[in-house]
Amino acid sequence: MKSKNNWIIGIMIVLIILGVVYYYQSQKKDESVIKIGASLPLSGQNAVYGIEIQNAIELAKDDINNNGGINGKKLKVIYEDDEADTATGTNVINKLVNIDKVPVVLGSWASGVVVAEAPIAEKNRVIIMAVAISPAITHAGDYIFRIQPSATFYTSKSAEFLRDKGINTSAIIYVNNEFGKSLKDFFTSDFEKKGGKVVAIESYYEGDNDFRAQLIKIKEKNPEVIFIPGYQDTIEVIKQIKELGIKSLILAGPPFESQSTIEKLGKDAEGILYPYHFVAGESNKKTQAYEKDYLTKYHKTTGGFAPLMYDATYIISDVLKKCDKNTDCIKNELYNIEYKGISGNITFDSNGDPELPIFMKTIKNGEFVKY
Amino acid sequence: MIEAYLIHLLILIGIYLILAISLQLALGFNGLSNFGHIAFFGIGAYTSALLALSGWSFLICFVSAGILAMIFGFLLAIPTNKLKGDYLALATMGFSFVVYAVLLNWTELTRGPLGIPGIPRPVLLGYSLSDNFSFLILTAVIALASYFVIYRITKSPFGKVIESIRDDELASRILGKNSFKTKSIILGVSAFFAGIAGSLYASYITFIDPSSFTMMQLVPVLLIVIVGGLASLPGTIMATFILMLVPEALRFVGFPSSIIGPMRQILYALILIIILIYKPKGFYGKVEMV
Repeated sequence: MKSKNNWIIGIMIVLIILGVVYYYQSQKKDESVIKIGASLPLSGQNAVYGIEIQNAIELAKDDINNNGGINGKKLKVIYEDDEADTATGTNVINKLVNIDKVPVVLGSWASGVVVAEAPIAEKNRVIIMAVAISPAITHAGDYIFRIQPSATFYTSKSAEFLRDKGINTSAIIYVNNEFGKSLKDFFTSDFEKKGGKVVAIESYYEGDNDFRAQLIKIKEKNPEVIFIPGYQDTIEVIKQIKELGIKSLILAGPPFESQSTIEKLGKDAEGILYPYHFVAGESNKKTQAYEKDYLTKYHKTTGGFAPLMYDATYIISDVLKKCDKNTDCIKNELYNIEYKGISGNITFDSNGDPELPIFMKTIKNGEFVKY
Repeated sequence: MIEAYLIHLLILIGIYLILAISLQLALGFNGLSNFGHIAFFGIGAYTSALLALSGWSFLICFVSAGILAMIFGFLLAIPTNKLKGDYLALATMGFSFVVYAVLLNWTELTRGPLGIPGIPRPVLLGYSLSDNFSFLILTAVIALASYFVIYRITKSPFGKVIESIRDDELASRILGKNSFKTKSIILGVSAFFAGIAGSLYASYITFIDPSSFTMMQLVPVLLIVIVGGLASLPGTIMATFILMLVPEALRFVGFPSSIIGPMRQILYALILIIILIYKPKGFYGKVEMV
């Protein structure tokens, strides 16, 4: 019986040898590169976001290396797949910190993973530059930064905008996960603080595709606006809103801006509002150049997370030039940095949250435009 | 410091080992296809985390996590008593969805989808286990103790009754064995160990949210049980090590960065398929899957 297990043990031994060889390879002091890590969901249902972010990092990295690198050293990014899972995330951060000994980890995209990785990074004095939305990350630690504005920034901008337009009543249908729920809670408090009234709150689970029961309840209350903080499922919710003949204004969440939205909604997309941190084709030449590069290299237009991480990669390369691998120096530099990026002028507040302008945007003639 | 990384992996292996051998007890030895096992893990993790955050000592958190999970195990045994095979699997799966929905929606208690951050590390006899090495020792001791207890149960005369119910419930009832009582005890005991594994998990990772306790998270545990072989405890240990270490070892293969995610998953799946083609009953499996 045992002899049949020999080949399995053989495979294990080969893998262990590979690991050891790799470990000693990586221990060789290669002075010509400077390594940073990236923890992203590269497989599973959230891989679409992870790969978009990876593309942006690669784009920025190639640019940086073609323009002299980090004081003559090449920037190298070690990608690890965290599957948007907390336990796997802790494996990834342990590997990046202890084996690759990176000073900076880009990511993750999933808020839960960032919160789980934070104590390990904090203890080992490694910088995390996340692209996640949960307000929980604000107080995750001194070494924990993020390039994505917290959910509260989006909701307060939306609430202010709606009240300025004289809108008094709102309904919410949200996806019941960390993302949807934080946006719902913050929107409710922001909107009611400004004197508005949330008349109906409904929820659904990730993966649901029939929202009619919830929407009919909302229709009875006749709100002036319906807020839908969700991911790709927002598209189906909007279709069913139109199908049920609900005439309320529609306010979508930040992930609304992606190519598939307009393709799938067609003219139903016209006039839908959403808060966003990035206006395409606008402002400066840098943004346009970035969009062109992204399109040429990956044959698709950029989503919303990519420009943020593109800027983050540049910010990290700038501070690495000053600090090399000294993470305390990197941390202090990040708190003081002022970076003119493609998504706007970026500074970090004392919690490591970015101070980025948020715009209200809408869809006009099949294009995402500033309202 | 490769040690720090290995210590981290060994702690997770320890926690999954407790989870897997307790599922092995229900699924392998008693033939209960309990797909609600991950819910007990979640109940344990939340119980322990919430008690720890309200200032209770680790020992109390740890024991209550196990006991509360055990109570739910007994409760689950009542309605599922007469179900077998696929039907039992569906009913227990339903239980895990209910627990997930409660964790997600009972916001006042569990903070819902935001999860619970900042769970304190254990303090035992005035000694704080904040460094990973001492936590590894704690995990190893608990894993060994759990293994020993489950081993003793399966080797006892009671263990023979458990296995007889798996093989032929009617026959063992004719011999005067109370199958309902036996199955309830097994479900309760296996839930107890899942609960303490949950407590260890919560205090090690220091952050939990409902997404860690879904059916998807049960899949790796179920894989360990099947690859190790039903009703085999040494097989379970071997499978825990292999299934936890292979995905990590695959991080070192050095794929081109653009295919790193999918390639790792493909290779991992391939290894599993090969194992199951050559060893359909798992490494040391004694019985076929029901």
